[in-house]
Amino acid sequence: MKRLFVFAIGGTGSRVLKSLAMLLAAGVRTNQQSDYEVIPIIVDPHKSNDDLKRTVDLLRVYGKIAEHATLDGRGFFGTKIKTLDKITSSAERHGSSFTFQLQEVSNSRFRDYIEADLMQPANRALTELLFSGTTHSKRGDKVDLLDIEMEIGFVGNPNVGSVVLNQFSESREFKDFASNFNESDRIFIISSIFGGTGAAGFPVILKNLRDAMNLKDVDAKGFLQNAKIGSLTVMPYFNVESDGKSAIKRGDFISKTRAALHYYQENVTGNNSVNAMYYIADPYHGKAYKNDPGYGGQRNDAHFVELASALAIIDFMGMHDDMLRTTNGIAEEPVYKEFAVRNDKESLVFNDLSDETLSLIRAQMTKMSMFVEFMRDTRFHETIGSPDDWMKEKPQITPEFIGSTFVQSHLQEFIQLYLDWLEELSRNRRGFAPFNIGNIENLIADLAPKSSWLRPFTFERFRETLNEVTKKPTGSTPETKLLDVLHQAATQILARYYDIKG
Amino acid sequence: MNDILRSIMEMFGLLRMNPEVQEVLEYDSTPGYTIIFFTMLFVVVLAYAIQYHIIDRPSFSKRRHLVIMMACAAAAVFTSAVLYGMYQHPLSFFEILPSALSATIWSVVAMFLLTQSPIPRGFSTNCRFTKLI
Repeated sequence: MKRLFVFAIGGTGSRVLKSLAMLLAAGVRTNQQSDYEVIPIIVDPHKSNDDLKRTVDLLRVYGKIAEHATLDGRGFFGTKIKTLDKITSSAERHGSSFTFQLQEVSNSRFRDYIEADLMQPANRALTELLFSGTTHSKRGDKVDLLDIEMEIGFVGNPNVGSVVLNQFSESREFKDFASNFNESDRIFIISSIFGGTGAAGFPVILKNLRDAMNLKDVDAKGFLQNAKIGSLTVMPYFNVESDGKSAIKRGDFISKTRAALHYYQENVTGNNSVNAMYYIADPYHGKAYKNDPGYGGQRNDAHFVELASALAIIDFMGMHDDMLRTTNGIAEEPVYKEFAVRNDKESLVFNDLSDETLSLIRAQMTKMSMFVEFMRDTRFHETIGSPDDWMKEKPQITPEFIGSTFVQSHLQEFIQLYLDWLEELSRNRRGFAPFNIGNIENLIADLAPKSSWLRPFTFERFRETLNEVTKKPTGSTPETKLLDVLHQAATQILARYYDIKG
Repeated sequence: MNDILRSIMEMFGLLRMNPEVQEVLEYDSTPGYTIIFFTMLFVVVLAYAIQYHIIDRPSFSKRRHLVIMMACAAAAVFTSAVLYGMYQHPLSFFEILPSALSATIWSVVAMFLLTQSPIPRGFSTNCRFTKLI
């Protein structure tokens, strides 16, 4: 199977990856899309970042559930998400993780990392010139840029990040990735442009990939050099509280973006290094995030821009190979894309999205939301003791199965993460609130189901539809069956009561 | 056929009918036992169809709902048999009672057999696993 390696750089990278996992769990995919295995590689020195931890938790639980998914990749959890170690041969394995291990960063200052104190006077002088600015330490004191503590990333200093991240090509993870890269595989790089880690990491990773012929101990140099590479550049999309003692300032976002874009003009897009480049930004000055460079854990609410950004990856997976031809590391016909919504509102619903976005996500996200609402509905749990026909049909959904690790641990954990994600999306500004959470009988915020006094749209319709779909053979295990029949039932309900096909 | 059905209604000799009742029910070639039997069968099939194919809802698909339908069918069969004996023939309530009880018992048996078999129960959407045992 083809693979898509997704490099998610920095905090934004993790958050976009989370949205991607949610969309893939819902079964969002383009019609032209081949089946891909997604291999996320998170590049972020800030290991205690809550957004990173939540994403890793989600990917882990996704992987557990997806082991049981079928429907040829067209149902819930249809796209497999794997860790890098899962695709390497057993002899090469060295731990199972979605994160890229940056060495010697966690507890060190930049000065120590580059061994500035051991340099010759001339080199030291040049270094001090290149890194002459100041920044804020975790205590809020002003410190020289050379004394930046890198345990929370590069805090808006891409010049520092670009030095540290140059260890990328020497890392064990990169060699594993490079050695297992095939001609049909693709690469996608997610980064923000207005911070530190993402802005620094993207050009470094891209350069290492396109200059793969110079790498040592790597088997697939040619494939890597001509790899089909897509990238997402996230420009400023949220506001932060002003804090004189923080290194992060909203005012710097635009100037950093301009500087980085200027660099990209010459070194990324200007030399056709990427096959597909996606730009996204949101000028809406909504709810300001807490100004936390990372010491407080950096836990930002999910944002609609992250969801839209994740759609870039889905779009990239759906692009035909002919559009992504590369020769000698240069994309032949690079494409550049942006994203827009139909209505500029503080809080969006489905009908505020363009037709293309609507057709891509509405049906699938609604199905997943129905699945989640059904699984946590007390009326579903009441039927377990006295089961409905869809549960009695083999393989049976028994009370023991409902009490199993798969349901009580993996599914429940995912359901909670999904609900948290929807809740965060809806309360953020700009928000995205397409669902009436907790109301399975009127789930879509801007579209009511067809209902009449003779046949009202109630929870009973879900049970009936589940019984209907299980008249045909279903999965071979209760886990597969649960995912399949709920997906099929949700599809029928959408078509029958909402006139939504897909 | 009336002889066979009479035998069935008399529980194959277990239930001894009053010869006068027998004579009245079969007076002038009236197929009394046949009418009671087919009425019983019709009521049973109707009760089955109502639960399994007309209502056919998950909220009316449990065993207790089947028991309710069986009880309703049995009551309907008993009432029709009694009314048939009393108004179509000059029989008193106590004279027709054994035949009515017999038809009632057979209605329960018929409904049990009808719903135990996977066919036609399997054609239902929401009651295809609804059976007594």
